[in-house]
Amino acid sequence: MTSDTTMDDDAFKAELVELIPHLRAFARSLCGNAAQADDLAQDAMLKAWKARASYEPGTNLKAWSFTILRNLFYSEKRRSWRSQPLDPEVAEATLVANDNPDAAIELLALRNALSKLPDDQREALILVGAGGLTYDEVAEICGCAIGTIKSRVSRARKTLLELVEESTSGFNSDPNIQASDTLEEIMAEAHALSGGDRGAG
Amino acid sequence: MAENPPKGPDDPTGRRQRTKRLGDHLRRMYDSVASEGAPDDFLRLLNEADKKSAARAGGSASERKSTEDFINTLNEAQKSSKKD
Repeated sequence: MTSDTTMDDDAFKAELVELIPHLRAFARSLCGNAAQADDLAQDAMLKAWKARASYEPGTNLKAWSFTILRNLFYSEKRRSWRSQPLDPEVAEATLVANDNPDAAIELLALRNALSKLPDDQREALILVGAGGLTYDEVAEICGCAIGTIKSRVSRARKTLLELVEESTSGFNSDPNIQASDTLEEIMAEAHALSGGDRGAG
Repeated sequence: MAENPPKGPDDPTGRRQRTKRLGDHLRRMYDSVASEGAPDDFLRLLNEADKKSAARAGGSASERKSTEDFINTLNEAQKSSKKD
């Protein structure tokens, strides 16, 4: 089968279905808004299906389909969606997903900080740091050199860290986060970092 | 246990730990979506597209631009004839 120049439709479909969760996760990181992200992920999935004849079996379907999703995102100017405020549904899910309150606040701070990163840095960081793609694959997806991706990831990490530290040390654009919570978070974090007593939790 | 307790925001160990925590959060954010699996509406859309392309492959000459496409056409025709 691997010697064939085309891939069986059923095999392609099965692999594409496997990638749907990743397409959704990548789309969510680009759009922020859950509904619009799913819309983008669905478009990308259908476009990948239609273009299946141009996919070379044995190559990286994840990188290939991510490239399609990314191109859709930029070509349709969906990047303007990014300026939308934090999706309350996502924020809630984020909080529910964590039984550790200071980690949840940090996660919210991270979401806010991510929205402030330049698009190219954000996508590079998410693909490498969360999507499990190699620098090589991300370079292919973004259409640039590996060195460029490395430098984007490095700059993104630095900026993100600064932004999160800034927002968790007092100022926070999210009105739902009380100043007292933020202070508690700093204290808890300082305590955890210096004592390392959170291993049980 | 932390290897070296951080001394301040500029302490390299503290910074490394914070960077690691951010990485963990980033993965958690991505995984919280990825772990939801493939929603039904995605699967329905893909199945619809699959059926549509199988039906179209029989009649449209533009679908057979190349040998590869022609092989696909045969595969699809075979599949649709097998459908119950």
